[in-house]
Amino acid sequence: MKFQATANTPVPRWGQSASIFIAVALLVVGCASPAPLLAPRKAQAIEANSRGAVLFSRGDYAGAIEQYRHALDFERSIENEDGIASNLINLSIAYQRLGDGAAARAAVEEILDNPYLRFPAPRVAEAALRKAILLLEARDVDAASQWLERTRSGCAQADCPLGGKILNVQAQLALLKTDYTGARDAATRALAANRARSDREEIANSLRLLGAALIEIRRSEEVGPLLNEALAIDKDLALPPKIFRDLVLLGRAAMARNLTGDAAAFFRRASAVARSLSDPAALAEADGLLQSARPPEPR
Amino acid sequence: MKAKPSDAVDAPRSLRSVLAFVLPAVIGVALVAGIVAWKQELFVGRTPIFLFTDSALGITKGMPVKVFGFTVGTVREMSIVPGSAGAKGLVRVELDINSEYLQHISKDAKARFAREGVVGQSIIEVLPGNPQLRHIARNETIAFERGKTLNELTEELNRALTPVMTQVKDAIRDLQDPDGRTQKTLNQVTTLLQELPESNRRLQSLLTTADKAFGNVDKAVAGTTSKADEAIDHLGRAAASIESAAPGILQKVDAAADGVARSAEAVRRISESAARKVPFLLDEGENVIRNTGEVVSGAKQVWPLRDAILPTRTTTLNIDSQESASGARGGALSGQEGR
Repeated sequence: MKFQATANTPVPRWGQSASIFIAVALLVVGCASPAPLLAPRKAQAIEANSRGAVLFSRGDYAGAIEQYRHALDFERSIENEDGIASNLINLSIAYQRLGDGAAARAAVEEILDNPYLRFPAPRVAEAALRKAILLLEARDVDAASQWLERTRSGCAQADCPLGGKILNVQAQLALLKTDYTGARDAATRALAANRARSDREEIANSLRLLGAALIEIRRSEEVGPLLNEALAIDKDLALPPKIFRDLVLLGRAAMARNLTGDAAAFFRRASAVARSLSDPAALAEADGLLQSARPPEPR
Repeated sequence: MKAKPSDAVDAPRSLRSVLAFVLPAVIGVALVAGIVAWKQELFVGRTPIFLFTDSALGITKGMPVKVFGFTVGTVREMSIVPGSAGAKGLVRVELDINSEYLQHISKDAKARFAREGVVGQSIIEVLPGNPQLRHIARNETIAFERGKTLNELTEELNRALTPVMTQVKDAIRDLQDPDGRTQKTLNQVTTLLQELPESNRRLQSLLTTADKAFGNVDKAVAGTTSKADEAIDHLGRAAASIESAAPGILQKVDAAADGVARSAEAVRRISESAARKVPFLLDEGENVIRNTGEVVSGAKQVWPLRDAILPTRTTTLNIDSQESASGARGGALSGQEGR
């Protein structure tokens, strides 16, 4: 017939383009189909948790606590142990930032001492680590050491993500116990573990702890590269409190090497950071160190 | 032929069969008859009483007899009693009264011919009489009076109205007569009204004379009151000043009040308009917000937006091994405590 197509009839180029376009469009439409919906209560919990994270990142810790409490209520209502533990840990961190150590401890103790719910082991280990950190801040070294051991026992596997953090806390406890060699060793191992996991924030922590230990054992000349690396990471991550701490340690290292001019410069920079943070304790520390770094006035 | 033994037995049996068939029918007929008789009050005790009238006109057998509006009996029989010397003939009417109602008909009761309504049924109405007296007994007579017929009533009315109509005719005639009392009275009133202006003029003249006399007296008094006049003059000027200023002030006050009133009216209209529109706008706004929320919610569920917007799981904050209340204190590194 006149209009019947045959196998040898060439397909026009626009026809090929249209076919491809239709196929891609169908693929996109298929991909754009609605996702399996979360249960409303679960979705509400996740949304509240997400809002809390945003507020926390902005430094609105009170607002974050409110949202995490909402999320916790939702998770409790559906007895989602993992969600409950996650929000309790978040609450403990936010409370600690607000300076309410008791509330922070109570939050993690709800995970550690709960006789009715079976929380996932990684969450229990995280809660134990949080408790050790809180006790460390309270300078309760023995109790912190006990909880750190409990964390370690809950994190025995080789790929435990808390390994580098545990060693960093161990290094801090050693520093508090004036066991500087032990602190150096722990910080060195922590640095290796954190480098293996590429956990930059914890790498910077390890570098700082190692620098502090080396200063104490009078090996200040080795400290510069470590603390400068930590400073670079903290600047990259935009963590002002850590930057302050890096600058203070750099100044102390310079002081230990009698480089008072350099030390004063670091302390001034630390003071400026503290002032911008409106942190009076940090500002007082930086100003005090700056005074000690100034050469005596000629009589 | 000798009867068989079986025939002797069958005869009573067939009689019983016939009785069994007929007896119920007889009982049924008797029952119906009894009911009919009861309905016809055949079992009710009746007492005959009599009345005498000049004429039986309008009275018929079976006519109801009523006491207090209740039918207590009927007219049973009527007969003519022939007249005798010194007495004219009469009609005797026998009333058959239900005995239980006799107690309501005393000895002095009167019966009368009446009609229920203007065109209603004719009845014999018994007016009960004095209840203190004994009630009437069997075959006794009660007095009877025939009620007035319609013709009799018409004639009576005509007789009563005739003098009234005569007086009305006289009054109309008097009104139309120029020499009548009414016309004369009207003429006199007209004359009196025409004379009123002259009387008024005379009264005015008298008042003018009196006014002049008072004017003379006034002049005499004026001298003695001149000083008082001056004082009053001052007061008058002050009052005039106030009076001249007051309208302006009052106009301004009025204008201000008008302005306030207009503003208030405008505000009221705007408020009313807003009160009508605001709920609608709020509803619409709420709908728009709800619809927008639904659209956004729907869009958030669609790839690729859902991966960019929606958190799909609960996140835990990073645990910082150097976490502290004041971030700058840096755990064990704060101050000189680590040394």
